[in-house]
Amino acid sequence: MNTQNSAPVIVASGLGHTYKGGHTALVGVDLELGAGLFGLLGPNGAGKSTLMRILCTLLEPTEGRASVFGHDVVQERQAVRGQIGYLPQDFGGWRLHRVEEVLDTLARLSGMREKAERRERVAEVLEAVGLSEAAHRKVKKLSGGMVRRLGVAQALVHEPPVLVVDEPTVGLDPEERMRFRQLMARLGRDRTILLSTHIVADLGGGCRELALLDAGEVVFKGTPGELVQQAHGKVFETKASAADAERIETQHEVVSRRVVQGGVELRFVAADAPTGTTPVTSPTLEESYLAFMAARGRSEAARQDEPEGDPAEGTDDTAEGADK
Amino acid sequence: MMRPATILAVAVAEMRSARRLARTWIFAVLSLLVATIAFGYFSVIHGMASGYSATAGFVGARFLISAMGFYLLWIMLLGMIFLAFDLRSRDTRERVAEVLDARPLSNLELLVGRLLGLVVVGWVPMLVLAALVQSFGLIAVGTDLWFGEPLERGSLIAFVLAEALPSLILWCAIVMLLTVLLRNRLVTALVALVLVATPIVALTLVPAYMSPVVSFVATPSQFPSDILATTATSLTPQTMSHRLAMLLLAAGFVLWAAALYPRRDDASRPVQLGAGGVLVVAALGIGVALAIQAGAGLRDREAWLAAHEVHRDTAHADLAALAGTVQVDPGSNLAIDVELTFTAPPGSPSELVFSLNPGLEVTEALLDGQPVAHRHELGLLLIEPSRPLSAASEHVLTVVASGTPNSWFGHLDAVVEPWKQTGQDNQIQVLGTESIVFEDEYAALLPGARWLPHPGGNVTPAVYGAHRRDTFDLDLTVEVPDGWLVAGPGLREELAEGRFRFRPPAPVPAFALVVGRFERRAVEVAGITFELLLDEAHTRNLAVFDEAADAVAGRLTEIFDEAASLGLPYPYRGLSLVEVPTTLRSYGGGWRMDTALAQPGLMLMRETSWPTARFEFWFEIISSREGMEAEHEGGVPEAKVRGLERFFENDVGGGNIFLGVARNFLGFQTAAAGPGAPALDFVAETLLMRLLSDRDGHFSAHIFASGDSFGGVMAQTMTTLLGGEGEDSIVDSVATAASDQPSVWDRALGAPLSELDVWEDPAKAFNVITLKGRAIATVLLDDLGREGAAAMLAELRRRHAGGTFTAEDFHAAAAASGADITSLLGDWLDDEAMPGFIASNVSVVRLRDDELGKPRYQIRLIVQNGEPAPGLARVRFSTRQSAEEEANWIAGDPLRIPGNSAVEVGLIAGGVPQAVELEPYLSLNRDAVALKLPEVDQENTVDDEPFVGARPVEGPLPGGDPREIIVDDLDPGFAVASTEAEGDGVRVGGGLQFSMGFGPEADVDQGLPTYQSFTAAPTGFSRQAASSAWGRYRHTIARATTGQGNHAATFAAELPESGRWRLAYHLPAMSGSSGAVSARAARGAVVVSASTGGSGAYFGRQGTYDIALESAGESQDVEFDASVAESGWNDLGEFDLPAGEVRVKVTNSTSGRTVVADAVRWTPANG
Repeated sequence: MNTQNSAPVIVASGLGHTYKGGHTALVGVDLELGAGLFGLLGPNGAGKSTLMRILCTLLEPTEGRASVFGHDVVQERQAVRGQIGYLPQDFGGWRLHRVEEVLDTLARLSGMREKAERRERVAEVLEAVGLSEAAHRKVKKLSGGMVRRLGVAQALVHEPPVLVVDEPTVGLDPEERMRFRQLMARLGRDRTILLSTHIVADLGGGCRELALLDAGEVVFKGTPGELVQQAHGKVFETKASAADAERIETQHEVVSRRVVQGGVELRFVAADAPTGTTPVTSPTLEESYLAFMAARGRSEAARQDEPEGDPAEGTDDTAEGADK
Repeated sequence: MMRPATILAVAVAEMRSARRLARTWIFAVLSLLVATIAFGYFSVIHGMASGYSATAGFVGARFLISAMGFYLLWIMLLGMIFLAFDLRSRDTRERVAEVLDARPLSNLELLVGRLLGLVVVGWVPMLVLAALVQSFGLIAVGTDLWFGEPLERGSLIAFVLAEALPSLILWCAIVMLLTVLLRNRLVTALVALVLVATPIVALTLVPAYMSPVVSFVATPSQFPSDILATTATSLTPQTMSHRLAMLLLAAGFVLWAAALYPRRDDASRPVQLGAGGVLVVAALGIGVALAIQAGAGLRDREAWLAAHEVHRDTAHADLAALAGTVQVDPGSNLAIDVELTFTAPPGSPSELVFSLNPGLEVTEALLDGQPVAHRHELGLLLIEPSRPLSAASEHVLTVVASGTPNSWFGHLDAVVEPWKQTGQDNQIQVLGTESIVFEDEYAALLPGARWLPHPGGNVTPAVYGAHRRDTFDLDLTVEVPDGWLVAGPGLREELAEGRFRFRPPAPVPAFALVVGRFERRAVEVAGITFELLLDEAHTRNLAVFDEAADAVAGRLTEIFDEAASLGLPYPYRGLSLVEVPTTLRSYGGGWRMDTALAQPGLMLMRETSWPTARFEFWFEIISSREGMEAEHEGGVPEAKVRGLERFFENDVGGGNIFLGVARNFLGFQTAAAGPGAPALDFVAETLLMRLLSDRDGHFSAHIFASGDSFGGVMAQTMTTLLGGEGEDSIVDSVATAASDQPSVWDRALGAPLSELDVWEDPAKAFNVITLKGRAIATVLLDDLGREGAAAMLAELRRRHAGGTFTAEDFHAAAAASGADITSLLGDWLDDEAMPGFIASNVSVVRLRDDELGKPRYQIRLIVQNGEPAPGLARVRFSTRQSAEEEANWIAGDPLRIPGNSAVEVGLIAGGVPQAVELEPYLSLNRDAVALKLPEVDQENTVDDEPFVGARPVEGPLPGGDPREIIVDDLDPGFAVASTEAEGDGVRVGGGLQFSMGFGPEADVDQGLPTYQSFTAAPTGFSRQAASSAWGRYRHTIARATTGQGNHAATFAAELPESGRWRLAYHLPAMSGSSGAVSARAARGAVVVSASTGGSGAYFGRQGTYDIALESAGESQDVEFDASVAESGWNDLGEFDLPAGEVRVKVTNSTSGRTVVADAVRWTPANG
């Protein structure tokens, strides 16, 4: 699936991964990504992080293969690593180092030899993530959100052509999220960004394509528009009394709920239009995602608002993964 | 492919992390603190002690960089564990591992970078310390501080670069590999902690020659030197190979760690593991090669020794004269061209045996001017005359040889091989290891290495003095580089620049040459040229003693004139005192391991001795100039001469100048031969030293050969240094401490001196000789007086100079000088028997006051010698009233008491005597005996004539019931037994080995372990001397700490008849043994209770004893409460007993803290 005109940057074919304990995290994933922001959507535990760690060479697939710019993620790890910037779901940074020191070190390790160039670049990314004022601060003195932004900065500092960001907005406040979305949209213009999230809104307007991952399988691939298209006739709205609203909520997947004069205004997902409701003519991407998942009977999983650890992925030891 | 920039980036980040970790600073500060304290400690101790004892200079920080560095480095390595074990876990913990893993760097780059970062973090404190210490040292020297000096520069640089750096690199690599393998910080830390202790264990357990091979922490390979270009870490090919092996090992481990690191890169894991394996194998290969090479010198020695031992007792040529030329090109070549005039040995052997250093190559050998068949192999120069030489015929052997002498050839048959000593016992290394020094900067050619041909093998004859001692006339020309000097046997004549001649007027038994660029000071007194040759860097003390130069010359005149007036003139025309590097071995071989620093006409002085000693503490801090002026008649100069004498007499490392110089007067002129020769030599030398310098000389490297004895020496040194009281030098104290031991007495009493096998436990044999020899010298000197003793020695020298003397010769020389040694000492060489003295009660009466109206008290007592051997004793008294007063013993003249006879002794005291002691010289009593004093009637005078002196008395001593039966703890009837579960269940005292855990092993005293107050109490009974204990000659008790009754002491007696017998149990005075208290106790004026009172310090609380009486197969308990008992005999009641054996058994079960078994007494109750 390469809807872009550019050559594929990331290619995965028949990619699968089963952990040592027998848990299968990925099954037969086929993807082709070109330039631009590519969203990887799915509930927690869907296998998003596993996929990303495979693409970042941190985990070996047990099936299939993947490449970045034609470099195989198993055979040519160093080449792949030279092309990517990776923000893992869980990033901390050396606590005793200053923010600029962390970035400088990681930039050097990514091959930026020139000190002046690095200094300039560090200043740039700090500016971009809004951490300029914390440049001299030690990491241990940063707030959670600032650490997250530092994570973004380190992924960008060496200007990689491919950016892999895993649940990047976790811990960010709404304003930061907004700014992050704008940053991603801007960066996506001239590079490949693979952004995984379970929060649909994070994809923002810059997302050209997305894949929907559920239980390790790609269940949807396409543009956001195509996902929205699929949701037509499946999202409804109604105004109901409080008692009725409660009934509707128990019967359908409610997407939004707004108290208005004389009752509650609800938008929800349903296979057929219930009596007294109006089909929404232009459902949002989030509603479309929910509708898609509801149709798969996975609405519960899709409704998790706040990210929680992905037990299958987050706690898995890298070493074990590497040993496979 | 490794990219330096990437490695550097990792290293910088690692340094940053480590630098900001508290633990880094903790360990850095800790190691700096330890090293600073060590430096300060050694500097201060050196500042204080190096000017007090010529041996104490060893502790100078300047030359102890390795010892301090070892601990500094070791602590840093300890700290490294807690940095390096975070190899990955810190990244994981700080959630930066994945980000790092996704970077395009290889595992190898990552690990090498981290290793470098950590190494720098560990290494920088070393640099800081080096800078601090050097700065302090320079400031201390610049400001004339009494302590502190910079470290030897070369050693410091070598430590920082060649010790610390490789150690840190290897250790970090080891911990990294452990971290990767074990993947758990705690487990890694535990395993690493065990591993980091291995160098210490290794250095303790492996022989010294192997320690530089096995240790990966700074290992001192030698004492550094200012004279030589040697540093603590010598940068020899071996050292460099060892460090290369360490680095290869580190590289191998890092490769392994990279291969097994829990992150994959593009490197092939098998290739990395294989490459690492190759490096590790290469490193181990180098290690094995080094280990083999390290033993090469010792293997050579073993081969040489085997070859030379064959000739140990074969007759060899008697060297009469040695003449020729020696060309010394230090470090490069030694060329000899010498003629040896000798008389052929008896038996006309087909080959003549000489020894010559295997490092030299013989290019020509002539016998009586004709070429002669010869072989030079394994250090043996075998001359094969074309026809047998008739016995005692005189011949000349010419030998031309050159090469570099091999230091390993020296002292082949030393009973202690310093390189084989393990770390815990290798203090002997401080006495130097090289039998000769032949370096570019300096050469010290000592005779032990046989750099000139010498008749016979290079081993001591099995029977000491079995051969005629080879003294020979010398006429030697020595050529050295221009501007250099050579010191040798006596006066040096300068023939031309760099060309000197030694032609001593008296023969020498051996000689040494020392070649160097010296700073020279000389003075001629009493017709003898004295010179001091110092390294050019060690002239500071010349200024310190500059003002005392005349006083020193005066003192030398006094000593040498005195010797001449006693009939013992100095035989050589010159005496050189020359500085030698500390690496030069200061002791010889054989069983004796005597000093090698004393050579004819030459006294060698170690670098750490006077040349670098600090005297400011003694001449500026302890004594002010005003003080010295006030205290000494000759003012400051005299004070400094006294300080100098004290300094040299306190040398316990073989550099005692008094001993070395004294040897010229007698020891180098004649020596004992035949049975008892070691003792004869010792007595003659001790006597001579006391005559010339009022000092004892005592040295054998044995005291440095075990950790225990060395610890004892050091403790004694410090006690003497800090105690500050008493006249004894450290040497005297050490001699006493080493020889006055129960097991030494046991051996001394076990065999006569003439039968003493010196090769069996040589250290103890030497102690036996010391014990008896010193006492015999004291007897001779006190009895014959200075003139008499000197006349005897002068006669001995006159008769036997250039040859040897036997015991018979010794006695004959004594008799010729008017001394009858036999009546004084009996058959002291061939009979182990000693006299034993028993004194009666003392009577004290007040006589009429003297003419001046001063009071006079007559002291009388009878002293009996209860043994057949004659002996000498004297009686002394003290009138001091309290412990605060000085004892001020006043001694009577020595009393000759023939065997089995008694004398009445009279003394006059000017006050009421508070203590009277019998002081035997050499006797079974061993120690002085405190005598009981009566109450003195001070009011009424007795109208007797004063009696001072001794007169024979007939018959037995008054007092004592002939029917009473006393069993003492030293009697055959006394035994101890144990029922502790060990071996066959019951152990009986005698010849047992007692180990008391930590600390030295207890000595054995007549079958029981010696009681040692400062170490853990032994289980069961141990023996302790106590002057108030019961004893015929010697007063001892057996004591045990409280227990379960599993140890028992038994007093067995044979009752001659059945009937009613009264049993008494003797206890010593259980109080302090010094001061008036014990004197009063001994006098009986105050009854000292055996209960807690003042006795706690010695015996602890006393309680009820567990005593059983066993007779005719029956046993009954006897009650005895020691807590209310008295010092002396305590009645235990009357018992009806059959004739035959009766046993009083006391166990270690008591309600108190100790049980004392001293003596029991049976007396017929109805008599």
